[in-house]
Parts: sequence; structure tokens; C-alpha cells
Amino acid sequence: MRHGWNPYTDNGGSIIGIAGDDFVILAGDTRHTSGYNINSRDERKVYRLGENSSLVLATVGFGADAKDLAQTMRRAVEDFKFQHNLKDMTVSAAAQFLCTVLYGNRFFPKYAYCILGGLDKNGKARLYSYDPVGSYSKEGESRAAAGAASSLIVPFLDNQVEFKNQYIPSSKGTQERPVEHLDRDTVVRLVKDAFTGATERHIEVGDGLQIVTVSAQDGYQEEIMPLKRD
Amino acid sequence: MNHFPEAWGRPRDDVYGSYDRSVFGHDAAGPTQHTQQPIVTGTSVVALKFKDGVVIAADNLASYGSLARFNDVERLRQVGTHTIVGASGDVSDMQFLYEKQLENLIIAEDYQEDGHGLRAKHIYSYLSRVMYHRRSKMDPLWNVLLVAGWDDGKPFLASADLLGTTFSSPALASGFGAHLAVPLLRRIAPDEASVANITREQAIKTIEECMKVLFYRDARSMNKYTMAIVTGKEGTNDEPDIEIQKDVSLKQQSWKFAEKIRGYGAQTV
Repeated sequence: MRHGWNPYTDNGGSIIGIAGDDFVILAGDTRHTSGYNINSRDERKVYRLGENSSLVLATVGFGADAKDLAQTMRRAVEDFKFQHNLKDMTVSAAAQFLCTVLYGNRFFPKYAYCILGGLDKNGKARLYSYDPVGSYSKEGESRAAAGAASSLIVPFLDNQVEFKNQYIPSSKGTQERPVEHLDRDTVVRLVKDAFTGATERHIEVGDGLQIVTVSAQDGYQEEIMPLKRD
Repeated sequence: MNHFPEAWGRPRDDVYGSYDRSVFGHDAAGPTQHTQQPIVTGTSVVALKFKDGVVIAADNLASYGSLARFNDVERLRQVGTHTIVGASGDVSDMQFLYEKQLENLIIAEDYQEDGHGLRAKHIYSYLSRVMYHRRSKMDPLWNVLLVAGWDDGKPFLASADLLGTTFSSPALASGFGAHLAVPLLRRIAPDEASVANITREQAIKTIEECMKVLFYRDARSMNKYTMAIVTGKEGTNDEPDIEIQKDVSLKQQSWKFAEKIRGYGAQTV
């Protein structure tokens, strides 16, 4: 009998990214699982790429690959600074670089889903999301979710951020509600709602919620909100 | 051309002959294969942080399948001045890590004579990368490692396994211990904040209790174990006190209760 060893595993958890006009929010729960076991209740998935950077990366999937990617990105961003007269890597450059790294591992993929966020040189929010082999949209997106509970979170975000299936009441369902940038408090509330919901319905999501905000006004801010631990 | 897509674009056997497997070198049966399976194994390692340090324990048994093969195997190892590493899983891979990798790491560090030594975090970082590197070569070291020690002026405890998966928690246990010991440990250490309220004595008592429960229910365990207690000075990276208790026997362990168990086997009541 041949017993095939599997170099991958799934460590559960979920991540979300939402871009406003001049701020971007990345969040992830802090539970780390192996099957039905909870390995840790405080293992964070959102990484700041450099000490004074506006770049933030969230990774989920196979924990070891996810952390390796985060470290690769952190090193690349730091190295770029030293190689380019202390100029910060732009968010679009970091986005393309992450794509190259992921595709570079095309034939032994890093089993991790990534969401990259940051501010461009005009202080406007940029958000990119990737599959494990590096597919991403250069235009960026307004919202993204990945991980164990992404199938629960994505439709919620479609409705609440993109206003999908929302119509102007007086139009009797003929006129779609126009999409607009959300304010920060609303986005934080949406993130918290999305995760409390996902925690109720997904066993691999819970324990704590790490919410990272990068804004032109207030820079980098991080908050931990407790989630149910059952 | 045939209707098997996997053969499309490949040299035809009837024209070029079948594939020459000797290109793989000495082993004509196929490409080099690494992936093994654990042979002689150690069971759980359990560890718990307390206010001023960490307690870690592992029993002295090395099993060969279900055979209790060796009963004098030390699975905890002090590495440098600040760290204890505990290994479960394959014993030869553990010995490779301890005797070769970590030994050389410490020697190389000591030769610098720069007054700097590797602390718990450094050892852990090194071990995690070795584990992840080996899994990426498809040649894993078949272990779950717990690294306990003192760093950044506070207790340090983290885990790395054969996949390179890493995580940290105030209470950790590998193998069977993840099922049986972790719930007991989390009763007193539910989160990082609660560690400040755990005394050294309380931590030792809880770990001893875990070792006992594991001996009762884990068929690959034994009643003799090693326990290490790392006690540091809060807020400093000064060399912590490391007490290693060898050949500890389980306290108040008794199978007396077993004779009262009814409902299994062939009793006639």
C-alpha cells in the first residue's frame, strides 16, 4: 500500500478587504485550526509590509505557505526601499510583484489566498485579491473576501458594498441603487457584521477579529475585537 | 495519435521505443523518492506558560508501531541558554535535528564569541524554516516540535510541524495531547492575559495532571517522563533558570478504578 504524503493542509480562517475612497480596511479572524482542533486562538493573518509602510497583506489557506508569502513580501518591500534611495514601493508595484511571486510557484503552488491593500501616491485606496497562482486584476477592486467562510461573506459584501440587488424604492425595482464610497465607520461595522455572521455558521472561524485600517488621514491602525470562541 | 490526451505530444513508443527510465540514474524504477513514514515514534509533548516562564514535558517512550521499543529516550533538549525543544513523531528525525542541526547551530553561534546567544525565538525561527524547507523538498522531518523558553522578557512557547505549519499559544500539546491535554490546560490558560495569573507551582501541577491523563488514555505513552521548567526574570533577557527533572514518575497513578468499570468485555454482571 502506498501512503501518499500531502505537503498541504488547510488551517481555516477567513479574510476580508474593503477599499473606501482614501482608506482601506483588511481584516481576518485569529483562529488557527487543524481539522477539528483549534491550534491557536490568537494567530494573526494580516501583515503590515514594513514599519512605516501603507502596504498591508492578508493571507489565508495553508498556514505555512501563507506565512512564507507574507515574509517574502515584507522582505521585498524592505529591500526595495534600500535599493531605491529610501523610496517606498508603490501599491501597484507590490501588487504586480506578489503576482510574480505566486506565479513563480506555479508548478508547486503556495496554497494561499492573498488580499493586498494600500494607498497610492495620491492617497487613494487600492485593493487587490489573488488566487494561489497569482491571478489578479490590475484595476483592483472595492471589496474582496477569501478563506473558509468566503462563500458566506462574498454575497454579503456584494449586497452591502456593491449594493447588488438593491433598488431605489420609489422606482419599483427598475432603478439600481448607485454605488458610492462608504465611510470608515460603515466599513468597520460591515467587517464586524460579516465576521460575527461567519463565526455563527463556520466552525473554522472565530476567537478574535484583527481589523487593520490604513488611511491617508490617520495612517496605520489596528484593532482586535473578540469573536465567539465556541 | 490516439484518444488518450496524456499521450498527445509525447514521442510515440512504436517509433522511438518506450521511455528510457535510466535517465533517473541508479534507480531505474523511477524518480528519487523521499517521502517516508515515521518508524520509531514518540508520543505527545505538552507545555504551558506561567507568569515567569514555561513548563514542558514529554515521556521517555519510543514506540515501534504498537511495540514499546525503548523506554529511556529523552525527547526534551536544552538548546542554548534560553530554550527547551520538545519533539514528538519520528525519533531518528528528532535525533538528526538535535544532534546534527541544533548542535551545529549552537557551536557556530558560540564560536563567534560576541556575547550574543540564540534565544527561544531564534531557535524557533530556525527550526520552523528547516521544517518548512524539508516539506517543500517533499522530504519532511516527521515531527511536531514545541519550542519553550524565554525571550523578550517574557515566556515563549510555539509549535512547528512536518508541514512547516507554525503557531503559538499559551498552552500547546502535540499528538494525542492536542485532544486530551489542551482542554485541561486551557481551563487555566484560556488566553494570553490569563498567563499572568498562573504560578509556577500551578503550572507544574497542571502539566503533571496532563501527563497522568495521557498515560491513562494514550496507548503509546508511559509512566516515566521528563519535565523542564524555564523560569526567567520579567522584562529582561537575562539567562533564565532551567530546571530539568529526569525520570519523573506519575504521582498517585493507579489502575484501581479499572476493576469497577462495567459494560465492556466478558464480565457476568
